[in-house]
Order: sequence, then structure tokens, then C-alpha cells
Amino acid sequence: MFIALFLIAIAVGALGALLGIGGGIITVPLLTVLFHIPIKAAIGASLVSVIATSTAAGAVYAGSSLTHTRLGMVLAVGTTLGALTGGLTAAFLSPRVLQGMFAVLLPFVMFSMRQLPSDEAARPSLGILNTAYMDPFTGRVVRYGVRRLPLGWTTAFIAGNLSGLLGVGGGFINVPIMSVVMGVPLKATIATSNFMVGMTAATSALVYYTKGMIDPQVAVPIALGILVGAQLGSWFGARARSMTLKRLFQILLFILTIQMAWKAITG
Amino acid sequence: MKQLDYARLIPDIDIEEISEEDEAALQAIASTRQVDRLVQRLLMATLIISAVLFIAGGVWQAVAHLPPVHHVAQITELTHANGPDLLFSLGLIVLIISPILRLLGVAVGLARQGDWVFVVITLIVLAVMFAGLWIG
Repeated sequence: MFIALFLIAIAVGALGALLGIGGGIITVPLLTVLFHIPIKAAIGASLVSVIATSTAAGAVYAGSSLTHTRLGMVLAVGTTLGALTGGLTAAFLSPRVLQGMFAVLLPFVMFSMRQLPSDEAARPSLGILNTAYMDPFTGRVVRYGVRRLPLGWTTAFIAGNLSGLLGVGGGFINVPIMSVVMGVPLKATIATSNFMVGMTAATSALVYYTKGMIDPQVAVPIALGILVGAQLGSWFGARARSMTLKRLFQILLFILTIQMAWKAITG
Repeated sequence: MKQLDYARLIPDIDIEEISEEDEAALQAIASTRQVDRLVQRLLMATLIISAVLFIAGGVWQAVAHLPPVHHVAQITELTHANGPDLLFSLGLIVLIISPILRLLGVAVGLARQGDWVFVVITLIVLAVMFAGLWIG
């Protein structure tokens, strides 16, 4: 089982780092369905894997200056506060209703991503939190600002609030918020989302650790595989065309739509 | 905020080819690089330490034919743990706290640049994370 978990984790880590998601939404079903691992141990291992993805990808993205740390911090205040108050939302909404809502919402997000300009295109209108990075693919300096920060922050708060209820890190929500709502180039969005999912998962992982709900026989091979896969994924992600990343993310959203709809229907 | 020596921080960009209008962009890249350098060192250190502990624990377990350990040692139990159990637990702790170390690294990097607004925002994020841990 060690080798199988290690190899699967390489693929999950590569995909997570490439698309700015922690990968929890993939890891938990894989562990419970394929390996018959109890759900709590699966979530514990998944939280460790999200942190491993974030840390390994962060080490690579830090070398290319793609992460918008200041924006990540502002949004992280929203997502962490949202996660902290998630219990309040749980009183009004069941996970099943939420999954149904996401199944309806995600196709709209998927189509709205079609409008995204390529990272290589000029971005004349700068908003606030102006910054720039050098694209490792083109070697050109990309300047950009952040638009609609209050709306983005509010959405991040709601995303943090809901992600706890669905047991996910929220990377698949962060990426559309930053790219579609706030006008951040996709590569910078992915690197910044990778930064954020690590913070979201760390608190939950510490809680799981102190409650003894992390099984080293599952978490360790997964963490080792992720460390390898995430470094590969982030290296390729920084050097890929932004349009390729956009299409891959749209495919991911399509799969998530089916997954959420299935869970909402079957409970 | 302090003006940064971007020629030193981003030597891979050909400064001659960039117009004066891009001064702000260069400052932004230099600012990110300065924070990222510290963060990158911290993250690489945590990755190497946790990977070495995991591999050493796995090799120990396999070579000594020890039964698999399915629980982690709590921080108060670490002095009593031994063998692969101790190595796996320490590796997991190092990995799990890496996002917190990253935040501290960011706070130090931003403080060096005199960006106190974002130092405070970083500390707020850390405080909310610890509040979450306390609530459990």
C-alpha cells in the first residue's frame, strides 16, 4: 500500500500545485473508495497532503515571484475568519444543500473563466495592490493590479465559511475569485491560492494531530509523494501557457460539478 | 515603504531594456523577491527535515520488521516515543507547522521593508489561526 499511496500522491501533488488547489477534494474520495481507509484518517491524511502541496509548491513559486503575498494575506483574513465562523452557517445549511448549490454555481464559474485574458496580454487598468512578476514562460514583466477587493474579500469570507462545511481547503473557490472577480493573472492566482490553502489546512491539521486522528501509515507515504509531485507541478505550472492552465482548471470544475451533483442527489 | 535595490534583487531582468515607467513594477518584483528569499529558505528547510524524518522512519520500520504504527505521538509524549513512531511524528509536526513558519517569515520580510500595515494583517491571520486551534 505504501508504494501505491506514494505514486498516487505524486499525481495529486502535481495537479494540486499546477492548478492552485490543495487536492483534498481528490485525496479524500481516493483514499476512502480505493483504499477503504476510514473517513477520519482519510481527512487527516488529506489535510497533511494539502499542507505538503502548499509548502512544496511555495518553495518553487517563491523562486519565481508569482505569489502575491499581500493579496494572499488580505484574503486569508477573510477565509480564516469565514472558517472560524463556519459553525454558524452549519446551523442553517446542510452539506447536501451546499453541494447542490455548488453543482449549480460551478458551471457558471467554468463559463465565466472563458472570458479571462491570457497572462501574456497587456493589462492597462491597474487597480489597488499593484504588483508585477516576471513570467518564466515568456521572460516578460507582467504588471497588474487588484480589482473589486471588497467584493473579492467578501466572497473569500463566504468561501472560507463554506469550505469548512464541505471539508475542503477551498482552492477551487480561491482561483475563480482571484482570476474572474479580481482580475489577477492566472499564474499569480494559482501561486497565491497555493499559499492560502496551506494556511487554511494548517489549523485543521493541528486539531486532527492533537486528537490523534492522523495515521502515519497513510499520511507519510502521501506526504512524501506530494513533496515530489508538487515540486514538479509548480515547476511546469510556472512555465506553462496560461491558456493551458485555464483549460485544465475548467476541466477540474466540470468534474467537481458532477461530483457535487452526485453527492447532493445521493446524499 | 523603503526603496529597494532592484538591480541587486532581480539580476535576471535586463534593466537597460525597461523604461522609467516600469520603475514601480521593478520595485514590486524586488519587494516580492526579498520576502520570497526568506520564505523559500524556510520552506526548503522544513521540506528537507520532514522528508528525511519520513524516509528514516520508513527505512527503520522496514529493516527492523517493526509492526506499523497507526497513531502519532502527542507533543507531551514525544520524549517517551521511540523508533519510527518518533521520526514519523516529528516529521508530521514539522510539515504541519510549515504554513505558520511561512507566515512568520512573511511578517519578518515585510517588517524589513517597513510595510507595517501588512505586518499587522499577517499577525491578524496568525491570531485567527490560533483562535481556530483553541476553539478546535
